[in-house]
Amino acid sequence: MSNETPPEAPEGRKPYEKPVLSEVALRPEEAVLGNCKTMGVAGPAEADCTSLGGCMTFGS
Amino acid sequence: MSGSFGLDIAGIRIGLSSEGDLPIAAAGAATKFVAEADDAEGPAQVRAQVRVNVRWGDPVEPGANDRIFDSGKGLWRLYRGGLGRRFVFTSSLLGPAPYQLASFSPDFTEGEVVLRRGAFAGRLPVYPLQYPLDELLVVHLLARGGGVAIHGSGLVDADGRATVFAGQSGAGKTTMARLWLGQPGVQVLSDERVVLRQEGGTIWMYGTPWHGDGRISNPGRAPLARICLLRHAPENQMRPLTASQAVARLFACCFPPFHDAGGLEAVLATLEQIAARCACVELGFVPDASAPAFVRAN
Repeated sequence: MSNETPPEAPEGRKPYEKPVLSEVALRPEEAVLGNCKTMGVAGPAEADCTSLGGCMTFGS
Repeated sequence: MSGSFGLDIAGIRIGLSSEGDLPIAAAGAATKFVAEADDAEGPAQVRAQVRVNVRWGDPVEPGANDRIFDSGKGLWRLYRGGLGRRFVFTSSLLGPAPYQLASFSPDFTEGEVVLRRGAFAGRLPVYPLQYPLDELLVVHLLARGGGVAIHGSGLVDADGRATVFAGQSGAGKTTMARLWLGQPGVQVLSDERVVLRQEGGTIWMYGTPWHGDGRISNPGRAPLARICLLRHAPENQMRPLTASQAVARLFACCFPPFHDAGGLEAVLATLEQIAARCACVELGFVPDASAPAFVRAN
């Protein structure tokens, strides 16, 4: 005879949970500080940057 | 004309000084993070954990054999050599020659920045740690000191405790930060990046100079109460995350030193501590005034 209800967990232990596979998306271009948020560049040539000599446009 | 100044970013004090006719100063949001000079260290000097010397020179791209990491898109690359590690920076607007080379000791406490004079013509004084160098430096130091930079907006609520709204680009960090502006007793420290540091038994959230479209950037810190992993939703809703879910989701929106196995391990350990000590939830939100009320009520 089959029993479809999982056995109750012993007192003090968490009940068994089936492993679940979940996917977390990574965005390497953001994570490595590899791009500029607004212009795709960094450094002193940011013509439209409000802080010339100090790029303030970040990678996301 | 030379110069010196100091920065205090997330409790890390960085002292910069230049040689020769090279005026240096903080720029943009970094001006809010200038450290006050410490008289005991001499005029205009700060008691710094990191010392960086800056000079004009001829930054040259090292050979490919010494390359450790390439950020892609031509922005920066990391090489062995120099004092230990060398970051080379190029810009599509300045041609293929590097405009900046930064060399650091293996523990990142001593550094030298070499700037190509022609790239900065008419743009003096120079901010020698311009993005992404300032964040790269802080990311490496944090990995050695129980901290991590998070892609998130952050605020300090009226009770003095901090909440982070984390997520990748487009998740709603700046939108959420703007919704909290003007809320009674609330100070928004950043709309784009915060630093989390474990100090004693407390996780602290720090504001950073690296703002987003909202240009919200303030120094300051507060003990972290909660992290909300953001997503847009048709109605406000909140779901608790298990520790493993929280670590996985936070890792996807943090800035670890990917080329450094020890640093990666340290960042993961810090994320585990954060997930163990602070509430981590997934927050679906509607981008209107109902969202802050919902967060406060839950």
